[in-house]
Amino acid sequence: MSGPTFTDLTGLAGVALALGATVLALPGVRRLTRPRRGALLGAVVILALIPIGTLPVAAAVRGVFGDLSITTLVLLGSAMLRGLTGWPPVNDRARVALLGFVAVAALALYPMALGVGFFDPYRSGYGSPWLVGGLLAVALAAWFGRLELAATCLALATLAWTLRWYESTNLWDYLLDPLVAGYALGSLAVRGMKRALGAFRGTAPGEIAAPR
Amino acid sequence: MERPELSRTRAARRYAVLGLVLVAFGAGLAKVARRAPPMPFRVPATAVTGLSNSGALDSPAAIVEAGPRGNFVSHRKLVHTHAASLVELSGGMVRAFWYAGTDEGTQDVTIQTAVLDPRSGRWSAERMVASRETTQRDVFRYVKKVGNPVAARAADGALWLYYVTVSLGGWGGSSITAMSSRDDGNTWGQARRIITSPFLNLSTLVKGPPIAFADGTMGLPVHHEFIGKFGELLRIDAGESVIDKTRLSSGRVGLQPVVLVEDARRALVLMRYAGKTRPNRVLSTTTADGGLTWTAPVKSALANSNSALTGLVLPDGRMLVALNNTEDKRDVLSLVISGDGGATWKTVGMVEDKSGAEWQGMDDAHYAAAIETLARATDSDGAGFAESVKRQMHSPKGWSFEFSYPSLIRTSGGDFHLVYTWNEAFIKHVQFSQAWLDQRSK
Repeated sequence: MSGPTFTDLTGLAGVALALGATVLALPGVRRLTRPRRGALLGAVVILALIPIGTLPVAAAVRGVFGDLSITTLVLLGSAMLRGLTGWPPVNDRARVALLGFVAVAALALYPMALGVGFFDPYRSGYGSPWLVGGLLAVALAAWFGRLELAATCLALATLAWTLRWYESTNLWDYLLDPLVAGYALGSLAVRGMKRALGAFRGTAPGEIAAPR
Repeated sequence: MERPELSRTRAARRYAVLGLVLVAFGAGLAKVARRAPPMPFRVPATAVTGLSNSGALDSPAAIVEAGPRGNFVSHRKLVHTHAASLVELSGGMVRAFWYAGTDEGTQDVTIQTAVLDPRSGRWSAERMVASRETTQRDVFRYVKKVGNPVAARAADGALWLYYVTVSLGGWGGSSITAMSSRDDGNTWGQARRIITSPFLNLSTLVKGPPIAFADGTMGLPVHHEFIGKFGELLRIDAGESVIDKTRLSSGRVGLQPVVLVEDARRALVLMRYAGKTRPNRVLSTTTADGGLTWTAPVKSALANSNSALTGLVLPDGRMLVALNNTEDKRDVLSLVISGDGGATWKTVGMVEDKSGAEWQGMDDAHYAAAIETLARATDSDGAGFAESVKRQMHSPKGWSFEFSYPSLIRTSGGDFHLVYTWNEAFIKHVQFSQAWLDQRSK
């Protein structure tokens, strides 16, 4: 048996972090004090990386879901950090913009990459100047629009791809994965439904509790 | 009103993000500038022809049965055995890989290997090179089962083995794992997972032999069978880094592509037909720009029973293909040749043919006797072979024969070696010479 390579360690660490974030998001856990939540996070991450039988839990999860995209890790990481330290503050506009980008990218990528039609957008992830240049334009537009979360995600994903942080050589795998795509689509759908419901009742989301 | 120091902190963070964007994309664009340019194909060597000195079988009868030389590659009884792949070793030896286990897709399936000494015509004892357990320890992921292996010789001399692994679901959930050897397969390095698909890396399988590009990168034909059933050609650097891929077909009709390189720019791809619309024919697509673009796939002149095929290009440019040249069954395995780039084909040999009426509708006893007789021609344990085959080949329709999943190579000495699944229970080997082929293709 050989030891883990760098990309095994990064992949397993990402999965362990995600498992920790999932535990922190459980309803009962949210009521714990911050130090206890921090200790629980550390314990979950360590337990996820300790082999049980032949494989650690993180490796079993990695076998199914693969390596998590940088976007997933940034969203999970910022949520975890906020829960533990109170920072960074919620920027709903930036978060929705990022989820919108992920949702559009997923809808454009997955059907064609899985065989709908002859064109395969996934191919562009192997270093197409059009994809990297296009993402730079989007990142700059996000920055000028004060959507720093999206700009940060795009930059970190591109940097991780450049450094070959994971096994994948394809930039798309650093930008999104099915988990964050599902979350983005679901989250935007729920948001849209709430907005529609609010419009139906004559109020917009967020206005109900606002003082008049 | 916001305090000035808070405003300054926010501005600093904001410009830090801009700095990150510029650094990250600067590095990314530098990587893009360094990426490998498109390459023409490396045309297979155009050397030796004629009779070899390795005792190749050169009579037409020899191809029908391998002769009394023990040309069964595998010998494990009472297991499902399938999907062999060949590669030439140094000194004219030939190594075969295949998978075997209790049944297709069970967790005890392992990748097996054995080596042929062409001078004696004998295969070494088989041994395991990979299992789901060894693979999951190497790739640090859960692995449910392993499948098709494909062997390749890289430009730097390393022997690479690509094989199918599944962590989620059935074969539609497959991904590819690779490992390499510097000593012709005696010892192997750590297996590595190859990422080829954005959706949980689902559904990439190998079967056809790799080709080479002029810069030494490898072209690995693969197929998907999750939502679509279509072929792709991966371009792989250093054995395991995918640097590009092109789609060979779309929809739900094309599997297991085989790339036949004609020259530096032109190639023909033949694919197993998995569609529902008759006639059932091998699909074909061509490129004239070194694989950058491919024509829309069309049905070729070759019949196909939704089964794998293989082929190679001869030094004189003719194409030699081994396949089940029927529309419905796998009880015929043929060798066909084309001298016009795949437009027309001529049958040059029937490697196996159990399509005749005398082989149909057998009862239990007659089938066992037939298998025993066939096996005894090349192996003393005919009864053991019969028992193994009976375990695999009975269906509600009765007893049947299957000769499938061929793998064909031409060694540097000019001999041809063909291996194939023999009734889902064994791997069988047939060897023939260029002289026999030339005689048959006149």
